Amino acid sequence: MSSLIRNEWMKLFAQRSTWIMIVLFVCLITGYALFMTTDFAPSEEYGGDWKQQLQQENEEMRKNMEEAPATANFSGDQIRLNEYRIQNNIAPDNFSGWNFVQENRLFVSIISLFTIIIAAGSIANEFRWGSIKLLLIRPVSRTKILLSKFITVLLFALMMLVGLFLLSMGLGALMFGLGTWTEPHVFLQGGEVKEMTILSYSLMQYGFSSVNLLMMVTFAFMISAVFRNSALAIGTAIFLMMSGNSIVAFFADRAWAKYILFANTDLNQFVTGTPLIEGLTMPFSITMLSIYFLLFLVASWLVFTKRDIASA
Amino acid sequence: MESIMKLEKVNKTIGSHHVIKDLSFEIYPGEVFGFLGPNGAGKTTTIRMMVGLMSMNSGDIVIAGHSVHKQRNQAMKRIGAIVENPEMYPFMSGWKNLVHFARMGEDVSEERIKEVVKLVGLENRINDKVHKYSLGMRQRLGIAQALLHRPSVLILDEPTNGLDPSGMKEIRAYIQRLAKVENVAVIVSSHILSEMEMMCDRFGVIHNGELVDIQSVNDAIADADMEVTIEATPLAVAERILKEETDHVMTKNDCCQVVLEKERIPEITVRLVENNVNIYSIYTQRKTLEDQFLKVIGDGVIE
Repeated sequence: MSSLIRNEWMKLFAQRSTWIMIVLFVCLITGYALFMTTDFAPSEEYGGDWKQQLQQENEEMRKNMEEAPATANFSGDQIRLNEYRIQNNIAPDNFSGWNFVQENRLFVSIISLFTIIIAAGSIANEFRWGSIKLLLIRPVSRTKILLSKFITVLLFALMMLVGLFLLSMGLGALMFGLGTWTEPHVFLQGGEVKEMTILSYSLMQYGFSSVNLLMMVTFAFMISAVFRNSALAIGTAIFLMMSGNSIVAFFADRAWAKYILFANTDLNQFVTGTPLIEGLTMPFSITMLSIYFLLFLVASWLVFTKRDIASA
Repeated sequence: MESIMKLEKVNKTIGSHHVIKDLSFEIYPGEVFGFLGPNGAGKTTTIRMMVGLMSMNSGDIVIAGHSVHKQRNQAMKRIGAIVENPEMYPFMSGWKNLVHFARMGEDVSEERIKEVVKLVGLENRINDKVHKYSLGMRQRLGIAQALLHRPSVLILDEPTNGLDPSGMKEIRAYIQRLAKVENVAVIVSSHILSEMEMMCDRFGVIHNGELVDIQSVNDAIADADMEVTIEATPLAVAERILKEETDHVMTKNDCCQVVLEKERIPEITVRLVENNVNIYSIYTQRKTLEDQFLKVIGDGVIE
């Protein structure tokens, strides 16, 4: 199995397009970091008297709430956070390298895009090149070949995610200062204030962002295995990735809305937000995600192992 | 002698089309087996079933005692193949392509890869990317890939395709040596029948999914009538005498062409001489595989 994965890895990095994606990605993040330093001035700076500053903020917000009750939700949350900070002596975050790390979570969707392209090609290209015929006449079962391809795709995504995290930390430290990784981060969960170290909070956020990536990549892999067409796989996966939220919003009032894949892909909704659809819980979403994941893999496996390699 | 590969009543239906019908034959170690058939006869389908790319509806293919669909991996260990074109990864070097396929087999050392590269004569270009290779070089790389794991059965679809005459001769000699020295069973399919005639010991002809004829080349030669060209004067006399002996007489330039069994040539020569015909040359040509092939497949209509 490991030699099969080495083979896939070798083929992946022998292709120029893979390197182009990686270089593009590094440039994008570095460019973004440069843009942030020159174009971004933090609006609020908290100094040594941050407790007074926060109290002042709270008073202002309370006043606003009376005048404009519509903002009550947001302001109420903010007031609670500020009070928690004052009580527990946790200074608010000035914009630091960690904020940069967290903001760069956005780039996970770029990683999704690149990994979808790779997943879409991993089987379809073997058919396009005709090499599938030489690949499948070895004393290795088709199941193993399929699995090695899928694992390689996941390894590529993992490599990119770790790369993004480390590069963001490096650039963040260089340009904004990183502070210590045990720095506490406070956030609200269902109206309750929670505290976590900044490192584990950041890792958790990246983890949640990767769920959507995993699902869409597996979907693209399935389309590639079933239809042997990488363009179709890229197209459908990216379309679904972009329109997922709209699909959920459109069907939100139906009873079966919570069974839609995209109602469940954002696990962050259970930690720092409110669920999209009433009745959704973390265990339910994880169950749904597992079912979809297995469904995609089983479909790929059934078609790939049973197919007659007729014309390639 | 025990066969190394055995097809047992293999049937294959694609859609509503019964492509392979009760196909049975055996291949023996050390022989070069020519697999012939017009386009669409089921040749490629049969080869694809032999290497496990396609499933069969009924019947079995057994390689060295292992059923292709029940003990697939065991069977595949014994087979090396090029199916249609030798399509490798164009963006990698020839060497990396071979390393790739070596990793998928068992016990293929780096020395073995080097040995195979040398065997097919690609030493100088093995580190070039495959997209820079000519068709002939790809063909050689394809053969190298098929030989890495020392298979007992080698299946080559159009192996001399794209090779120049010297390359063809080289590959032909190499195939012969593999069969005779290393006792490999080689299955070759090609459209160039004269090519096959030079290379193969035995032929199977498949037509509309059925095996129509299996015979050895030597049988084919023994069976065949000779086409005899006699250069003689006076031509008219020669023609009259020959017409008494056989029905198929044609005159062309200063020659008469007749179709005869080999044994009758001396007798006819004597008759001509007795009738004062001057003979300048007698040239014989046996019927080619092509003629045999066309006879066997009839009008060549594909059902």
